[in-house]
Amino acid sequence: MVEGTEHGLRDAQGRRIAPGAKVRSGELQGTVARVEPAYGVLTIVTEAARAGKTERMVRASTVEVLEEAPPRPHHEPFIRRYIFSLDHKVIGIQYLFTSLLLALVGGVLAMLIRLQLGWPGVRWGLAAALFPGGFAGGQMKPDFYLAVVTMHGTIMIFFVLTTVLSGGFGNFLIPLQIGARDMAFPWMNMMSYWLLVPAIVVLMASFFVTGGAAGGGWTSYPPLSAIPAAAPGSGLGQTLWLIALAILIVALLFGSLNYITTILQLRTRGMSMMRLPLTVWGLFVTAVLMLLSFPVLFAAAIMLLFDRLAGTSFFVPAGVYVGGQVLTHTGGNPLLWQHLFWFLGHPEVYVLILPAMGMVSDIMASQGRKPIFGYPFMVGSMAAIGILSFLVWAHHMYTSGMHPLVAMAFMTTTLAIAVPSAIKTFNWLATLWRARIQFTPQMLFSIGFVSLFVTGGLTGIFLAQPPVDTYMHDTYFVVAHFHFVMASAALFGVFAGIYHWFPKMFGRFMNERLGKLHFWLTFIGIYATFFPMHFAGFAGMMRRIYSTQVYGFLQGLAPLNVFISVAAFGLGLAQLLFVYNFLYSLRRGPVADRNPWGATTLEWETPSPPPHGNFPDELPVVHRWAYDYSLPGAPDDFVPQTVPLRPAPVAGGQDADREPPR
Amino acid sequence: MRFAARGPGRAVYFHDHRRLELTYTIIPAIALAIMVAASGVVWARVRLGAPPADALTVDVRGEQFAWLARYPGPDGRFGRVDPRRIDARTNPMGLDPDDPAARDDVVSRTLHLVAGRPVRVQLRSTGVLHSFFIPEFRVKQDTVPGMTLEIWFIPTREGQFEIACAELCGIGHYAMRGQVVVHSPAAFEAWLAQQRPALSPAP
Repeated sequence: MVEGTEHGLRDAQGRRIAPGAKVRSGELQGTVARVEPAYGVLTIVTEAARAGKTERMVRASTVEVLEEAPPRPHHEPFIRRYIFSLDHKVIGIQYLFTSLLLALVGGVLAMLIRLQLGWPGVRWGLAAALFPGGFAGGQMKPDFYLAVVTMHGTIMIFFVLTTVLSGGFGNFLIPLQIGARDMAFPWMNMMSYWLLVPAIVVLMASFFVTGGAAGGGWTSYPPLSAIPAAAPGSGLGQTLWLIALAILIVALLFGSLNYITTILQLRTRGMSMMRLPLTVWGLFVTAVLMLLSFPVLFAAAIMLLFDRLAGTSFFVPAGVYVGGQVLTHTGGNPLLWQHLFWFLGHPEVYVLILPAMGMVSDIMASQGRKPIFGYPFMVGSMAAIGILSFLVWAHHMYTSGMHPLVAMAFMTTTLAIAVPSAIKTFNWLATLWRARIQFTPQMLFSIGFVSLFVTGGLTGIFLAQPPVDTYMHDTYFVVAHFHFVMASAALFGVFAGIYHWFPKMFGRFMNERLGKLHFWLTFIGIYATFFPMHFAGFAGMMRRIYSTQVYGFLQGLAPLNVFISVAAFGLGLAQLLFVYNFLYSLRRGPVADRNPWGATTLEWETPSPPPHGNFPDELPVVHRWAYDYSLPGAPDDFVPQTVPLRPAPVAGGQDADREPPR
Repeated sequence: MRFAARGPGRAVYFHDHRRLELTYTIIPAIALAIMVAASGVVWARVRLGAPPADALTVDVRGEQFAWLARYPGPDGRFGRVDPRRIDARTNPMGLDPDDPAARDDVVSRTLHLVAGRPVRVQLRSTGVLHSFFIPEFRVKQDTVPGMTLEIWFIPTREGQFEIACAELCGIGHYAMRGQVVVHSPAAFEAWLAQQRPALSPAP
């Protein structure tokens, strides 16, 4: 491990050798440009030769500081500070705001889906006025419905949950929690955000092109998505969808490379990997998954673009007959896309859940005033989930036409992934056992996360088994399953994270009473919306159908769908509480001090919000693990990671001479 | 609210118990292993065995947005199909009249099956993915253009059931409703005898 950049380099008089300091080394005299503490060398720009930009590298041991570096006053112009910022905290907050804004868009789309499924065939004057292109005679059009379904999934998965968890929390928390001044590659980090923006612009533009936005579902299976004549949404909208996704993937790869490098290289002194908070572990495993899986989707998206625009046949076989014509494509295979897509698509759901798992673990420890239970198992199970997530993709394809024997293999790996998931669940429960739980909004959302994860995880065990999945596949049972285990659980992680780190991000508290109300309405709303979908799935109701009125076997589901829609509207309205609380608290919330929750991790050792460079003075040094809550004999019920280990002062106590293990 | 924060006192400093953790690692692992075995046995029976020799063979093709069934006719062989021959009105299946085996093929918009008799269904698709789904039969198999996929099952009860499409196939996906009629053996033979080959329409 390379030591943090600003430890220890001092001259014989103990003055700091830091960029900006005036120093002398032998006959050289100049200003420090860069310091490489790991190698004990630094670069000086000599004053005499400045015009020629002569830099000299010298040993730190030869340096005498004439004048210490002035405290860095940070007066960057507005545009560098808040728009094209290199600061990971600003970039994280940009990601957060952008994702939350898109969550509102995705949420409105969800409401439109429920409007149609609750009351198919009904004329809606207001909605038709708001979306003139999507309604005909007051009724929603099927192609608009499919565009709405596709964009809801695409936005929520790729542009909300992925970006808010990795881009938002990952950016904000990683350097703060590992004790670094910033990301390893700040410029790349800025580019990551500024590639997200054009990706969103392209995606949103697709609503307004001929044929409307893509309508092939978030999975965009070819040939439907490959052949413009196959559906209105398979026209320009699908092309833009693929381009938006390709841009987003580059943005996410910039991010994940950065997170991995930062976590491996920029941990502060004493911060061994096994002292990392679980939030960082979750984000680390996530970044590895993204780095290894997203390029596969990138390749697939480019191949599909070629099939659409350049006449290649990666995914389109010979003899395809669409719209009264036989296409000239020959030799492709539609199943190839499904394999490539799900090779990303399955790790992707863990990309959404692992950061949430990490954050929820840290929140449970700090709000329960108790160490996380089984830290090594928690880390190990995250790693196991990460590895297994690459080996389960074809469980989405049991009915796709691949050989039935392959399904057996994927059933085995899929059920295997339930083991580390079970370990995590039991460890969370053990963490809560004999804790002193503070029922703050973030703790409620964390406990709610476990509930949703268990509910969705158990239905996953049904779906993992091909004989059962044969019936359940592509029904609302699947919709219910992934909305619990992946979508809602990740969303609860996001809410927990926002309530918890809001004071650190903005220096103010959110309103706790409103937060609790928000939790209860959301928790009940999620169960009321998604739990009945299991029943619809049992009854055979297919995904992505525009109306339940055509099939006789779905006729009885009308009341159920009305109930689901009403619950979904309630759930949607409850989110306005959060929006209000968030915006109000940004300006008017009570001011928070540096460590309002009494938490142990490093981000709470610096002011709220942290200054540019994160830690006003030198970087903190870590002496213990992140979970010394309620340590016997300690004066407070938490011991920050920066407090050195020493023998516990209470003699004769049970734990008197036992050091915490890390 | 047993562990809610109230009054003085602290949470217990308890964070590792290897035996407990191993217990709840191993017990779910065993339970899941049993599930893998049990499910594997069922799956092997459903999907890996060959259909019985007396099985009826039907060719079912999905298109946007309907199902089309084909029976081999008296020669017991399916004739060649060619997408370029498809004509929505006169030859929806795209039968090739140059192939003698195609001339007696029977084509029907409704799938007719026999109660108690195993049926092999060959699934094909003209253009995009569909999924052949009969909820009452617990049968579902995607149809993939360029591939012929085969499933088999035994209808046990006479009656009329619906065929649904379970894979998004375009704007008519929600309305791609087909019908399956399960006959008694005699009624099926009677129905089949009434059918004319698709390439020689009614005079």
